[in-house]
Amino acid sequence: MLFTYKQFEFCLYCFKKSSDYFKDEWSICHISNSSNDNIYLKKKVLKSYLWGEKSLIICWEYNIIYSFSYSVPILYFNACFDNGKLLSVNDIEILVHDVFKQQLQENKLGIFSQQEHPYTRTPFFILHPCKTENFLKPIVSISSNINPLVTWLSAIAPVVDLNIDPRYGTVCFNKEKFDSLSNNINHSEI
Amino acid sequence: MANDREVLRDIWDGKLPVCFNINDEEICDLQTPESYYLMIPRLSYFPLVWDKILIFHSRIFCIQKVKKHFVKHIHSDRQEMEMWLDYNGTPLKWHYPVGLLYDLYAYDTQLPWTVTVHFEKFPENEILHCNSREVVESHFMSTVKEADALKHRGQIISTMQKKEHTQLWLGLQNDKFDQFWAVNKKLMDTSGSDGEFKHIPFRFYSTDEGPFIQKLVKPFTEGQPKSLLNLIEEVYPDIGCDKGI
Repeated sequence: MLFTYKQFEFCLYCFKKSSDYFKDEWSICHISNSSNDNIYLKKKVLKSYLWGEKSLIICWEYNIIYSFSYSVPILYFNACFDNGKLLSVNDIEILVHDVFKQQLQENKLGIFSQQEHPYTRTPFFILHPCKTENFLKPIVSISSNINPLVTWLSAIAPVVDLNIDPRYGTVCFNKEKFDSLSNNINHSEI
Repeated sequence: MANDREVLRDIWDGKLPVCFNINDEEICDLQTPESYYLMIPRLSYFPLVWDKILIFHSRIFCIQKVKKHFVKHIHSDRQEMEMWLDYNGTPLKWHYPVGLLYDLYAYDTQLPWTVTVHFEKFPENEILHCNSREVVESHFMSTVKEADALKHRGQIISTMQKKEHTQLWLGLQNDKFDQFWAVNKKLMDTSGSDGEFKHIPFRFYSTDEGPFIQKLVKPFTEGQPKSLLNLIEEVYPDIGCDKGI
């Protein structure tokens, strides 16, 4: 298997360690039931945008969840206005950076769509995972890359206006730093 | 497929009688509109019959539209006329097959299954938007893709032609068993190099709103094919299954 849940879990804890270090406010959520005990990453960000002539505050929520079917991580996201109303596909398209707009218009449903969040069972958008495996394959095989999650996330996150601090990359390629971080992971957490 | 064709056919032919009533509070007519009855395949999705409901209720629908138009003027909400259903106060998730929704929420009710049609107050935090059949098709195809990722690492679905994808969808949409299975048999093929599926595609749903349960389960144990009971025991190890199931 390309990227197992155990690897995902490990990458997630490393990511979280870096996040705490950079004060980036990602948090880990635990989901337990009779046969699963899973974790995923979550972050909420407030951002202001120019919407026509008005300035608007949008609250984004990003979740990084492991897909057992595809053996890859999937980025789930939602965005709401300050009155709590969720943004539609068309609204999100407006917020998407110009460089992605054309692609999005050509194949909207093929890039992201609304789906049920596997844990909260509420509507969320997902970036489709079909191509993630092809993307991850060469990354996972680079032995110096200890956290493929960072490489993957930093490549796709800009589509939904999620900025990944470049310092995550320095940790991910710096073995010494990575080791010191991973040694600090509390093993009871894993 | 040849040896279980009858079973497949029986499953395909499973239908539910459903009675649709418009929510009283959303009617601005003195007369209560008649109920609308339909037999719906258990494997189908509610939005595929929405057009029929709309045409039946078009009189009320038009009145509503006109009323809204005058009351709200241009301030109309983008999604104001989005249709949705509820049963006993629970909004019905259109992306679940009709049979699954019935089994989850209404298995102990008398038939026909009576559900309420709404056009207002779309519960956007509970159900997905569905403003076209393309959305249903896209959802259906993504579940087929996911299932194939589990069965064949996605190799069958990705080598299919677009027209085969379309045929699969139209087969389901138009309730054409042969059209659907002509393509689906490839997706259910186990004659490849491994001679079996990698994993069994399944999900366990419950009414408690907790996560649905999905994990990797191989179809065989020591050469023996697993039964549904084996699967349930593997997924719910704490539940002592009644062997009489």
